[in-house]
Amino acid sequence: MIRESVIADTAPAVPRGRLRAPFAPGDAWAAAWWLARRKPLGAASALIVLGLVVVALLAPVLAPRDPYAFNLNERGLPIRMQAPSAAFPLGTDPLGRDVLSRIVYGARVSLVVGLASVLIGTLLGTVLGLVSGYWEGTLDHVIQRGVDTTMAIPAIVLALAVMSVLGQSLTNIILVIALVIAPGASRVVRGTVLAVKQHTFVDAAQAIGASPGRVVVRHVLPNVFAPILVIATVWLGNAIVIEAALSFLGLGTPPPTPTWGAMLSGEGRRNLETAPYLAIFPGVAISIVVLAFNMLGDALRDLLDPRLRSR
Amino acid sequence: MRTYVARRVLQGLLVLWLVSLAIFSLVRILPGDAVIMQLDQAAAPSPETLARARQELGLERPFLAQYRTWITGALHGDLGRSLITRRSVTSELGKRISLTSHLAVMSIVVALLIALPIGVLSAVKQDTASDYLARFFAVLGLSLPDFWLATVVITFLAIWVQWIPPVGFAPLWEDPARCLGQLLIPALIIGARLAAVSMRMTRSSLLEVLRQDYIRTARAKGARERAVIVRHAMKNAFIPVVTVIGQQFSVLLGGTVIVEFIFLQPGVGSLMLDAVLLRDYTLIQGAVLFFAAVIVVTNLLVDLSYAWLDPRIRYR
Amino acid sequence: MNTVLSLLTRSLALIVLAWYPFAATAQEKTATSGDAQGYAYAAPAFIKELDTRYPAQPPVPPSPPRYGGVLHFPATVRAFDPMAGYRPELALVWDTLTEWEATWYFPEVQRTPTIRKTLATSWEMVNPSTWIFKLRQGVRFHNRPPVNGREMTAEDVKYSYELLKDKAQYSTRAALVKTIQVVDKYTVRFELSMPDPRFYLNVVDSLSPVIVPREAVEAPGGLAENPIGTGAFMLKEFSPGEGALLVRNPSYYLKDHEGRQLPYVDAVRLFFTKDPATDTALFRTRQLDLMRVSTLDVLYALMKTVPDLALYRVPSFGWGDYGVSMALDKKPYSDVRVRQALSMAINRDVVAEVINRGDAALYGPFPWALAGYTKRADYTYASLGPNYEHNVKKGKELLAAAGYPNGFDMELEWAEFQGWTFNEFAQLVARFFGDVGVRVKLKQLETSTWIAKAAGVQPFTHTLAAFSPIGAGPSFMDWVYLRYHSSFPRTINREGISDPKLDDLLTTWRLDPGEKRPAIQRAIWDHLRQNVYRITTIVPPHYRIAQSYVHAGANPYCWFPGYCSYEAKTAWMTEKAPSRKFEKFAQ
Repeated sequence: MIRESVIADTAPAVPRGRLRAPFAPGDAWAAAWWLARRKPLGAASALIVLGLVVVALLAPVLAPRDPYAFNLNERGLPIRMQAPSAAFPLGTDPLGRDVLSRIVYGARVSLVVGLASVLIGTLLGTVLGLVSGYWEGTLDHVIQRGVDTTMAIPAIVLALAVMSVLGQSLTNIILVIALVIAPGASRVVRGTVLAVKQHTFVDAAQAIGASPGRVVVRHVLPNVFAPILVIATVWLGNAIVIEAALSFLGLGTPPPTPTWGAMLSGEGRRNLETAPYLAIFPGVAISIVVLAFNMLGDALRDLLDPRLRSR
Repeated sequence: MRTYVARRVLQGLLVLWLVSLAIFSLVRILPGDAVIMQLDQAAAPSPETLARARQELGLERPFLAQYRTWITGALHGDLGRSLITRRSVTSELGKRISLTSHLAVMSIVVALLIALPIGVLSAVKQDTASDYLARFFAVLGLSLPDFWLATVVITFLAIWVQWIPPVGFAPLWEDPARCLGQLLIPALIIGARLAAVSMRMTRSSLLEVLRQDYIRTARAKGARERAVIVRHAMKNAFIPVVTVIGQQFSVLLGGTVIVEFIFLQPGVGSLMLDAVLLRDYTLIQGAVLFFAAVIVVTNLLVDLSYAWLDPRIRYR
Repeated sequence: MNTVLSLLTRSLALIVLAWYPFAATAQEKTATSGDAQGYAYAAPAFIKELDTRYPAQPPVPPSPPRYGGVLHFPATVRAFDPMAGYRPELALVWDTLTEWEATWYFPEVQRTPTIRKTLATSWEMVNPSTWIFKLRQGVRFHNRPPVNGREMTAEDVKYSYELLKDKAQYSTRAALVKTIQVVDKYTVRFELSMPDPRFYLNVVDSLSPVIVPREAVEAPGGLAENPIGTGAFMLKEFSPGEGALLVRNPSYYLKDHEGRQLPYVDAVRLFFTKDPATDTALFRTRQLDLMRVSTLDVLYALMKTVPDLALYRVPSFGWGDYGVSMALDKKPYSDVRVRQALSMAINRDVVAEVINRGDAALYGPFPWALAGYTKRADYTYASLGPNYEHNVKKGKELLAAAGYPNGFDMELEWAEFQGWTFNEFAQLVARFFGDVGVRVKLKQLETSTWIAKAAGVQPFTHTLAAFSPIGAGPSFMDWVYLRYHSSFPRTINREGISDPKLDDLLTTWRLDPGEKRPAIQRAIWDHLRQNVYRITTIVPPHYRIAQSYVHAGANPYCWFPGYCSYEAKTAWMTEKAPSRKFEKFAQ
């Protein structure tokens, strides 16, 4: 469930040349249009992702009600599990809260969880992979064995261990997901670095006395950037699904914070037959966003890897 | 080549030892222990009784002593006894491995049956409507959480069809009809995810192969397009696909937990989950060690196949 | 001091159920005065529909019962081995000296706990520290090697008690037993470490030691590989994580009230389900015959798709309640005014509505019946007093008087636990506490970590959302004495409640031979509801559903969490039951 996308990209992409584009550099609109025409699916996905960001940022404006408020009836009791109606377009949850507002605010958490965990994970992985691949030797050996050990321990055991000891919170969930991403990312980066190092321009740069840092930044990093970007985009989607899985196991974002994963795995799953709308709406939200991230990753990979360019 | 293999094997053993150390320590940090988890809610034991129970399970001995006992046993194939059931960990694992292997193999078969044709189609008709549609459905398989799909399937199967996969595992050679009936639906759910990954891999690797020189030669020689694809391209394109599948096997072992949970299939994944929840140290250690061994071996085989394919990598 | 303390803790004196004769007479009076609606609810209309459709007194099934069939129900058994742990389902294979009667043809069972004589046929108190039990003759162990169906004798009882009484899961019940002597082949004498005029209630199932044969324990693999007992069923196959198959013991000694041999069914299949979705799916597809359902939501969903199910619905004695434990040794929870304020902040009607659509009873410091309230109509705010009524204004005043006019910060720990919806409960409580100015930070724990805290093994910082500490049966000793007396460690008295006046009351109760106990119990009730050492809210009823082709009895007192194994011993299935095989589990 967790690692397939990383593994699918293990083969490093060494570009044989730069992408040649029929528009003037600096002309952003033309660039965007050119990209959209070449990769319509990717462009659509980019729009969806943009939409997600907008919803997340404007949540207080877009949500019709307070996502934490229990809406009460005339007897002072919460309006539990109402089907979608005019007053509550997507229904209410078992505590009487408006589902639509919770989904809108849920976009925030999903975005934060996705971005933060992927950022931290890929950053950590990149650093480890760079160090490991560039300097090789004992350092490489030590780091790689550490990576192997972390990858060999099942993610569920890791997640349970972290949550049991450190407690459950959004921060710890981000930490756990980052820990899942980092080893795979480090391997990809290391592979890329090793492949790049075979090229003579690296030897040449070292021969004329360029410092390792300069070599890394000028020659290695640009080639690493593309695969990492693709991985990161896809992992953004995966992170959201992992959060839902953690919620299922009781290790997800603690309430009352609304997250799509918790809504899907908690009250959504528990009331699947009596109130299916509780599961359908967060489920659809998750699917659309993950779909968009995956397609975006596909499009990026197609664009950045010249081997896959169409005839 | 031989030194490379030897080196990789040694590295693998080192990783296994590190994993054993890591998991042994990790589980003992978790709050609670097997004694507490087994108690009935109404039980009202005194701390002395609890201490005595812990002692019976060997949990009061010093850390290193416990580790030494366990690891020496493990090296002889005895992974100890479960703290909860008091049965041998090896035999517990053995029973579960049968089911998980069945499930993994069936999932892979399902995934390949879906992924290969669609992947080929998608590559051959790159950037056309068929390609987009195929990729869309592939990615859909990745977007829906599999545990959620499992719940939906089991709930609505029961309501609409009045049938759910039977509980009670029988291996394929004992009762093929029951085994298939039991595992087909979970395999479909798990396979859908795997199909998505494999499909994209098939597509990209086939695309890459199709640009190779020998393909151009075949076309120049006048071979029909279908012969080009089938005879020349596909064989080479499938090598990376096979390695991906190989890597996925280890993911399948641990990643099917939740589906097993819902369909009440006792596989290795749910064994691990239960063991962690019950703080059954020996069982967790045994299961994780097994899991790690599978990953190490699979990685080794994959790396070896890469080395065999690309001589440049060998000298690293 | 230490030895006294340890003596006290070791002699978990399960002395007397003074309420037992009291409640029996009270219940009988209730029954004879025609109050068949003793457990009727003041509840919304749709619950009344349940009341008429499924009367509190289940109908007596047709006679004679039919022999045959395989009974399926869900369970959680990790090891079929009494030495490894206790589970109610072990009662299918191993018997205790006596059991709670749980059938439908003794209607009085529905209101009064009645003891069924299984291995012990009579008992006699020589003095409160010495008891003689006479055993049933002709009871045979299962006919399997290495025991091969030999007769059970007093030696076996002595052996079993000595083997099991120090194990953690049985210690509550068996700790009172100092020595056991064999008087003759069918007579045992128990010497107790403390006098107990009602010791016979100690040996009635639920965490009492079961009778096991020495040969099986000492054989290689122990009881796990040789699960031999005297029970109605024999274990045929045990598949951890999946289920178990048990077949009828053809030489079981118990007969029903018309002299027919028990059990009626050929076999029992247990499913170790983990997920409620699996349970309901299995019930719908007629693979489960009996099942416990935790909320009305699930019940209604099932009633729609399985309209002919039979529902046995009974108010809970006290198992399954929703409460909040507080760290009483810390400020501000050490101040009674703070505790009262917190309790007043909660609107228990809303809690009942959210947790179970309003179908729940108010719950006090311990089960109502133990305080002498046996009529449902008494389970009201009036009987509990102002500390349990929703009063935000008064709560704020109390907090101000205690020195917290601007409230304080609280960390409320909770976890998901199967059968409860602590998720919603914790959020509700946090909201209510917020109303009086207490700022609550919800801290979700991993379930096993939470179990350790609820068991008193790990401390919690401020508050813990958990069920109240419970008793194994309807005993004041279990529910109150052990759980509130300061001499008991945290594993028994969860919050370490230490109140000298309360201790005095409890000691007075323990020393009283029986006549004054009801009054003392009521006095303790009044003291506790004033002091609010534990915040309690509501307790939902128990729902057990059964397929239309199954007739199975139950007992409201040996209910939770499935004690008495759904009475597989006296259950029978009609011809409409699906035909099932029982050669292997996987069939």
